[in-house]
Amino acid sequence: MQPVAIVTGAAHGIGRACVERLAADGYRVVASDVDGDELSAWVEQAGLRDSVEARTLDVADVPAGQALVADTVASYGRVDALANFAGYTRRQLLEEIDTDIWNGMLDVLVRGPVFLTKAVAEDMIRRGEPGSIVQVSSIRSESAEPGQAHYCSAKGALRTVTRAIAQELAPHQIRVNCVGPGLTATRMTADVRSKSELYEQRKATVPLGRYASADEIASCVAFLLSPRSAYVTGTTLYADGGYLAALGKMRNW
Amino acid sequence: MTDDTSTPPPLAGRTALVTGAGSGFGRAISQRFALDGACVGLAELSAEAAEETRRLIEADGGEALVIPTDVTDYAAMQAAVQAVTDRWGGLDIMVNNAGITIREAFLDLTVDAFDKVMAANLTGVFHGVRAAGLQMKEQGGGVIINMSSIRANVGGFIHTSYCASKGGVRMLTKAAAVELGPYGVRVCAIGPGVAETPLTESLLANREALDDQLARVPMGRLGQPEDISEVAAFLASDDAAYVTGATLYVDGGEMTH
Repeated sequence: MQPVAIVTGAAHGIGRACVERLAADGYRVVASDVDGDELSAWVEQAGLRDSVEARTLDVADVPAGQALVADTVASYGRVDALANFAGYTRRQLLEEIDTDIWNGMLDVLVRGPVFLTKAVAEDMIRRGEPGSIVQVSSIRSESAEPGQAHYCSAKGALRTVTRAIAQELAPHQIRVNCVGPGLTATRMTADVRSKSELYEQRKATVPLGRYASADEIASCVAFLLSPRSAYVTGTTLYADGGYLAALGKMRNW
Repeated sequence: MTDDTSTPPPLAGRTALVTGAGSGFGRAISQRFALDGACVGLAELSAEAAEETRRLIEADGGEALVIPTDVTDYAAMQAAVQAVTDRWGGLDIMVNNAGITIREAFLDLTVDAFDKVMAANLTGVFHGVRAAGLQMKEQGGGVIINMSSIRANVGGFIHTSYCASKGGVRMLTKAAAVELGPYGVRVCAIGPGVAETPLTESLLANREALDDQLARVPMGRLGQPEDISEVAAFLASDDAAYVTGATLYVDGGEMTH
């Protein structure tokens, strides 16, 4: 039976890399992005149309997410895996973050993934089959930086809600984990990487001395989605090149 | 998920050294690595137990070398690294798995028991990280995987010295990752929950305690050596190329409490 995965935030970066990896690993993938046209164009161009269905989804729209899950079950009979990548950040000091900005970010980074998880889990429980769900947390769930109060809070919330959901779903053999990427070469970091002095400074905060490629995060997600991680649940796999081990400080006196 | 026989196995051409390779996690990890294509040095106090692991690996068509090793002796650990390097030309993967436990209530804990557990579980890991790290720095890269435990984060009744040692392993892993990262050496840890191994025989023999323990694990079962060996194989592979300094907990969700 071909396993079926839903991937959000799939048009760019880690989400896109994960779609490629899961398709290569033999999954049927329902990929979604708020920019469905761009996603479709990429799926076409990458020659993935046979294994990847492209859909438009704003994960902040909970009923739309539920509809996507229902459609997936109607089309393919099942959902075995969910990977939530949809996300964004902006550099905004606390004084600039009004309630709309705050709510907007939490809707995408926390509320959307939680209710997609719920919808997918309901299908798995109904069928009585195991499943695996991966949320994309961040080193910012542990390590704060100025201008990221909303993003850090959202990623911390996602990490903790993952533990809570994992407890409730474990009796159904459904595993829920986070991947915590460190500095990764995606659109979100394009601005920093375009400024050579700043880019060098940032790389020097990472023990491995470089940013992750999107593929290096996708491979961790693929592992957590696979039966190879059968006893791993409720935890976060940090793929950060050692960033959290040093907390960004590579030199001592 | 596809079984593409044209792809070489993920650890093809690599060499590994696993301490405590004669039983439990160490045996399962050694077997998994061999199936994934690695040549495996089996470091173990008991040569007889390691011989059995070697037989199992060779029966599956793998290649292994028994290296009697006391991890509490740095010279012995250096010699084990050297034995793998001499035999196969380098050391790509080091697994510091050997460990013991002595169950004593804290107020009854003797200095001797504490020292024994720390020497095997923490100083033994330090020996492996240092001996392998020096070799891997020379080679320009490698992966070191240390066996920590959920007991690095959660206190355990009558396990004071075990908790101290495993917490030490968690931080040694981070500190070594920071210093060895620039040489292309990754240092990771695995944090098992309670699993069926020789270390938990007394739990397995006590039905009431076992039921209590199972009630604490959301997944409702104990870990198996294979749960740990799959994670070790992932961390050793290029799929984990950006994972270093981290401990991956493999506990059926026990730490979510």
